[in-house]
Amino acid sequence: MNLRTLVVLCPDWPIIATAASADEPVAVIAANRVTATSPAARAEGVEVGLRRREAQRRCPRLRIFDPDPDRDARVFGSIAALVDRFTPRVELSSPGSLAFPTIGPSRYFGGDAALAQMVAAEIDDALSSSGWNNAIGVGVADGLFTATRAAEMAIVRTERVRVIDPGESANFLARFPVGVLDRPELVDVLQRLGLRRLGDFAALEVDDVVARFGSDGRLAHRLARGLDDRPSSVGPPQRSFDVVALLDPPAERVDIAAFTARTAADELHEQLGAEGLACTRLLVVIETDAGERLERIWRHEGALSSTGIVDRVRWQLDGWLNGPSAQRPNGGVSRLLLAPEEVMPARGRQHGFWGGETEADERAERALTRVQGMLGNAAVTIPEHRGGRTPADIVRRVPFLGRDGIAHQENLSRRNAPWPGRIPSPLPALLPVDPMPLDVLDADGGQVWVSGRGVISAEPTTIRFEDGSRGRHGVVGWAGPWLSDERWWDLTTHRRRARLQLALTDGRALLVQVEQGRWSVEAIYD
Amino acid sequence: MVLPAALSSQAPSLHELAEHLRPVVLAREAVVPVLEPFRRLLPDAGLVRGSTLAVGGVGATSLALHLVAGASQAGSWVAIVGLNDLAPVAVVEAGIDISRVAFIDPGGSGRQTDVVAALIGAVDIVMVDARLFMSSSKGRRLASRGRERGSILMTVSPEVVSPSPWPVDLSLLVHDAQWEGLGHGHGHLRSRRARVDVDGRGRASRPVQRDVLLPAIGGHVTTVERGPEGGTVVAFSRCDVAMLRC
Repeated sequence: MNLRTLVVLCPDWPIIATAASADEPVAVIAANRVTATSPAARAEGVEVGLRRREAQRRCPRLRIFDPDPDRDARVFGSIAALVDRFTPRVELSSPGSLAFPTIGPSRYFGGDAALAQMVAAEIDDALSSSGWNNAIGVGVADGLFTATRAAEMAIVRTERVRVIDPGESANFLARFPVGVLDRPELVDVLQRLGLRRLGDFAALEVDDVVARFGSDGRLAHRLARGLDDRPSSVGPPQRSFDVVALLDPPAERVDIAAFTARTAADELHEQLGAEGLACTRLLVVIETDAGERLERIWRHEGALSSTGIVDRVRWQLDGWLNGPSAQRPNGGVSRLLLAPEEVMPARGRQHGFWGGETEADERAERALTRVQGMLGNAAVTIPEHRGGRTPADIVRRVPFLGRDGIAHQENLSRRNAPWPGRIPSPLPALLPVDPMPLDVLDADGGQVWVSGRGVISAEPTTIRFEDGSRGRHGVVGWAGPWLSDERWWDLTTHRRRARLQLALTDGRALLVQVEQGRWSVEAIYD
Repeated sequence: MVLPAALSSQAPSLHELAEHLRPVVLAREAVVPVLEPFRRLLPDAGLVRGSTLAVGGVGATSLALHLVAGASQAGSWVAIVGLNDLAPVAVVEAGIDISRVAFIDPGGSGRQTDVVAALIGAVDIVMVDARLFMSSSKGRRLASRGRERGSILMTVSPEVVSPSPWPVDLSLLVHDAQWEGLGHGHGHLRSRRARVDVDGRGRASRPVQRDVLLPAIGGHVTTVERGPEGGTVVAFSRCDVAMLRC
C-alpha cells in the first residue's frame, strides 16, 4: 500500500547549519572532497565532488567547514519543531530532509497543495529571517521516493512546491534518469543496456527484472514504476520490543542522557537481533520530570545499528535541550522510550554460523575507526582503483570512510580503459616519499642525457645517488628511454619526461626518470 | 509479511548448542591459507594464527605482500602500519583483496604501539614497518597480545634488514635477487629470481632454502626446485593471482 507522503528537502542544510550568511561562498569538505556548497560558492564554480585544492583555486575566498552531523541534526530539530504544528508524525531520515504522511493533515488543512504551501511558507519564513530564500523544496506524492524526486524538482525549478496527483507517480518518474535509483552497479548495467530513463526500466516485465537483477532489482523496478518503496518484508513488529530507560536523578545534560541511551540501544539491538530482525523506523520518546514529552520518528534506508540509534537520540536531545528557549523543556530528562515502528529481517547484517566474514569485516571496521580517532581521519587510507599510466596513478590511497564507502568506489570505466604508454607489469613495490635525485653515468663517467627526440646519449653503466650514504652501483641491464608527454593541453600540469628501467648489480631494479635535465628515482622494484 | 517468530523461543538454546558444537582447534591447525607456492616454503603450509614473522632483504616488500595474498583472498583483513613508500598498486598486483586492506600512517605521533594494539584481534594480519619500533619491551607485549588474540604480526624491512622488536617465530630473508627481461636498451623487467631463507623456532627450526620467482612472467609467484645434481630447474605449483587489468 502506498502512503501519500510529503517530503521537505533542504539540500544546502549542512551549509545553513554552519550559520553562514547566504551570500557568502561556503563549502563543507569531508575527506578532501566538497560535499555541500552555498549558492554563492556554486556561482563561483565550486561543485560537489571537487577536491579541496581545486575548490580553493576556483574561489580563493571560500570559507571551509568540516562536516558535523551533530550540529546539522541539532539545528534541524528546530525546523522539525515547526512542522510539528501540522502533524505529530514527522519522520526524520537525515538532517536536511523530513517526511510525514499527509493522510490526516491534508484533509484538515484543505488538500495536499494547500498543506504543502503552508508547510513551505512556515519553514521559508524561519529561514529567510536569516537570509536564506528558496532554500527548500516541498514535494507531495504517493510514496517517499516519488515525493523526494518531486521535492528535488521543486528546488531545481525554484517553484518551492510540487504536488504529484495520486496515481501519476509512474508518469512523473518516467523522465528521470536511472541514476536517481542510487544503486551504482545496477545503474551502470542499465545504462549500458540503453535504458537511460526510469520509464524505460519500468517498461520491462517484472519477471525479467527479477531473473536478471534479483530481489534488489525488483525493489528498484517497483520504485521506477512509482509503487511502494518498502520491501514487502518490512512491517510493524509482531510483538512489542519497546525499551524503557528511567533516569534517576533526571539528566540535565545531553551526555548523561546519551550514556543511558547507549545501554538502552544495545538492549534493543540485542532483542531484535535474537529474532533476526533489524529496525528501519524507530520512535524515540523523551519525557522530563516536569511532564513534557518530545516524540520523533527516525527512519533509515538500511537498518539502524546500535550506534545509529544512540546518534539519533543524541541529536534529538541536543535539539531539544539546546534549542530555542520557547521549546526548551523545564525539567531534566527522566524517561526514555525506544520503540521500533517498522522492522525487517536482518539479512544484510547476518553473521556467519561460526563467526563468518561479515563479523570479521565489522571488527576490522571498528578497529580502523578507533585508529582514526587516535591519529586523525587522513592517517587511515584504503586503496582505490583510478586507472592511469604511472605506478603512482593506477591505484591511489583514499581516506577510509567506513566499509560502506568501499563498495562504491570502483571506477570501472577508467580502470578498464586502455592506457597506452603505461609502465608494463610487474609494477614496482616502493614509491619513494622524498625525491631521490641521482646521476646516471656512462662508461667514461659522464652524465647520460636523453634528447628531446628520445635518443639516449650513451649507454648507462653506473648510477650514483646524490645522497652519499646510498653510494654507487653498477648497471647490469637497462631499457628505455620511454618518453611521456602528459597533459600537454594544460599549462600548469604539463609534464614531459623520459623513463629508464635499470637493473643493478646488487639485485635491485629501479624506475628512474629524467625531467628538465635532472634524474630521479620514480620507483623501486623491491 | 513473514517473520521468523517461531525461532524466537529457541534462540537461547541455539546459542548453547553453538557453544557445545564449536570445534576444538589445535594451535598448529589454526593457520590462515597462503598461495599454493608458499605451502612448500612454510613449515605449517600456512601462516599460524598468533605467530610473529619477519620478512627482510631486497625484495621483502613483494614477498610480504604475496605471502598474505592467500589469506586476504580467503577473507582476512590486512592492516599495513607505516611503510609509507609502499605503492598501493603493488598491493593489488600481489592479489590482495582491495576491499579488505587498510594503510595506517602513524607519522611522528609516537603512538605506533597503541595503533598496533588496537588492530590486534580485529584484523587477522598486521604488517608493520620494522623501522617504526625502537623499544623491544613494548614489542614483546604486542607479540604476546597477538598470540592471545590470534592475529599474525609481520615486520617488513625492505632493503636493510632491521632487528625485529619482538621474538620471531618465522623469519624469511630474501637475497641474491636477479631480474630477467632487461637487455641493453631493450626489453622490460619481466621476472625476478631470488633465494629465500626460511628459519625460525619450533617446527621451523630446520632452515629451508628455496629459489622463487617473485614474480614469474605473468605476475604470479612460483617456487623453483633444483634437481639433485643442481643443474636442472623444475618450476611447479603455478598459481594465478588476480591479475591487474588497467
